[in-house]
Amino acid sequence: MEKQTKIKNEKLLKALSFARSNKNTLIRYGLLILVVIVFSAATGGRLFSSYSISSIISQLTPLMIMCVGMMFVFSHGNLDIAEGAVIAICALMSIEIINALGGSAGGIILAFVLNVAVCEVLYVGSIFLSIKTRILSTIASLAIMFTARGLVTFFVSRTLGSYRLENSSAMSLFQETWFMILIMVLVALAGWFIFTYTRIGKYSRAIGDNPLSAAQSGANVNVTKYICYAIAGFCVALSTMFYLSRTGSVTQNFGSGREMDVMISLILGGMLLSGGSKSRMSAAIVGSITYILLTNGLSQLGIPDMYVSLVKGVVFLVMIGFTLRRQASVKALPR
Amino acid sequence: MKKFLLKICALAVACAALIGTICALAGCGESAKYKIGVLLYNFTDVQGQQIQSYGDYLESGFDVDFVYVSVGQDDDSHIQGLESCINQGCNAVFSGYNTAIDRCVEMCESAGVYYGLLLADTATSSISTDALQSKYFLGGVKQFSGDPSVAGNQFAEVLNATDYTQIAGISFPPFAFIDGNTLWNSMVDNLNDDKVICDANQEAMEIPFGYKGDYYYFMFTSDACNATVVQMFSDYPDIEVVVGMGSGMDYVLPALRSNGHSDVKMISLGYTDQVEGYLADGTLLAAGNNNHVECMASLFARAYDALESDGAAWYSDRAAATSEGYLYGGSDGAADYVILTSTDDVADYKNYVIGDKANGPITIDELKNCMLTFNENATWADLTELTTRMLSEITALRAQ
Repeated sequence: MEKQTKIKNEKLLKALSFARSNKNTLIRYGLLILVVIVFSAATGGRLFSSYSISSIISQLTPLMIMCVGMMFVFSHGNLDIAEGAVIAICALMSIEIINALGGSAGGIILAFVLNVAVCEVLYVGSIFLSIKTRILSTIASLAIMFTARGLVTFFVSRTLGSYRLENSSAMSLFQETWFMILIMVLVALAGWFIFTYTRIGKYSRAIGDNPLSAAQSGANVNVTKYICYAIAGFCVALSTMFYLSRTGSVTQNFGSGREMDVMISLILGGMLLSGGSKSRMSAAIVGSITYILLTNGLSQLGIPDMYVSLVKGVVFLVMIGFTLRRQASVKALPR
Repeated sequence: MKKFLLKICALAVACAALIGTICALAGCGESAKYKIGVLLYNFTDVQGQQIQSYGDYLESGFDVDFVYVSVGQDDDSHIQGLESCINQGCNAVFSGYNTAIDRCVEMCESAGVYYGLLLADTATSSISTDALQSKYFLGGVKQFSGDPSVAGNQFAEVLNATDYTQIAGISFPPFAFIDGNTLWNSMVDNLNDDKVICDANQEAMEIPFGYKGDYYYFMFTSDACNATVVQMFSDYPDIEVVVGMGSGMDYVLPALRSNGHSDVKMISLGYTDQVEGYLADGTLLAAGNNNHVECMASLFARAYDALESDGAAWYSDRAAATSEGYLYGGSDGAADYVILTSTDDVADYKNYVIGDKANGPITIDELKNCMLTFNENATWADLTELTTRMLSEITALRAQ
């Protein structure tokens, strides 16, 4: 009898030990499952009606793309808060180009290429500034945010309140469900591969743990940061196209708050704000899905926005509480 | 290990609380024939509360349920709010704003949902012809009974009746409050010769705003308002009256007080519970607010008729708009702007506008009488007259 109890206890301890060492993974998928179950039941399955799924995909696509890109930045322990403003300035520029070229495919391609160029300049410029002047990358992104938002407000203030696509069907491809899924899958796969299997991803995680150790282990810290910010810039440019196709117009508030969406998504995915070796690309993918389901589920239940924000805030705090103790959960390496 | 177990327990408790809260807030009940969504930035201020309150009143007289969804100020979150309404099975959606209007109408069209602007109009919005001609676009509601210059004239009368001469204006940017430009210009044109406008000397924006560069403006936040007030008094230390058009009570008055200008008088666009006290002590010369009940009534009449007739109901005296290819969007409804200049006005406003809706600006029976579903002889002119009733008319009617 005693032996059986001992075996049971050992099994329980093993299970707990396993849960503890895979805490972030369990939280990541556990939360997603919980959200799916709770809101499926509470909305009577309405959350997964065809219209709802289509709107969820439409919201998820740009967010997931941005999260994948930002994973490379967050894994260093850096934060970027300029996404919303950069999206707005790119969308505004895209509208001008697409309208000037009559909503043609060439105009859309040109708009995308220029978006990428602008995002690369802003993002690589931001980390360049941070590295050369030794200021926090968050401060550099703050400067980018204010500049971009100021430009958007200036241009929008010269019109009747918004810039809009003259040919509303010009970007219809970006609203096609198959296209959104295709791009999401491609970006997620590419992001996962680069982050998990290439030097860029490995060095990024190492920098997040300890930049000095990473440098001493052969990682070129600055070059890695430049490449990661370039990847993030590309993802922001791509997500701009989806955001623009959703709204068809740009007002002075376009894109505001998207940076928080990204941050909360990553946290919900079990990402540590300090980055490091525990960072996983699945945090971006699962976290963004969880976030969109949570948001849609709450609003479909007709819960007032203030409560939605409250629930999001509580979940956010709980997740931070669970993922905060990084040092203790990182296994000591043999020396 | 103990700590880890503790965390697991905490998570379980948090999840249980979350589920409990969600279930409690979601509630359940019998649904009405039609569901109408209302999109606003918030439902906690006077505007939101009034719209919600009249919605509740309408539920008692029509087979309809209202769903209230708060939206953020950016385009995408507005679209998310609309998606949420459609997902909740709304048959019509009233948006407070013209944000991403073309896309919203397009989405509603594909979902077979009617869409209208509750606090904006088509005349001062940038809207595509496709959206205007859509069967599912109900149009908007013109504030200030469709003519902001009338309110401007009233403000001028209030100012002319005082000895104050140094007058400055502050508002949101011209593009964000186009009616404000018309109101201000009309006020300035009707001021006595001894009145002096403390000119902001900003760049003029002629078309389509009509902004002459003479009033100060700020970018939407209280901090920006505060900075603009500082600038204003730095340019003109002797300002005696400030016309606060950009959220006068919420932003401008606190900025004046915090910068030590408590002696400066104000005309305010916007209403809070403090208006009565400030009118009594003379801080406010006048205050104004949209009649949100009338906004709701104007759009609701169109929406309900459209739902009952599948878009076929049409006022005979709106034939001109139909011939131009426009359906509901071709012409906006209108609602009055209430101007309060005394504590008696505030008492009437409290009693007959923001008070009990059964004794308010528009009762259910009065509204039904102007709706084609209930009265085939109803006219657009009748509806417009009903929704532009002034406070004095409402008071005279209800006080009988």
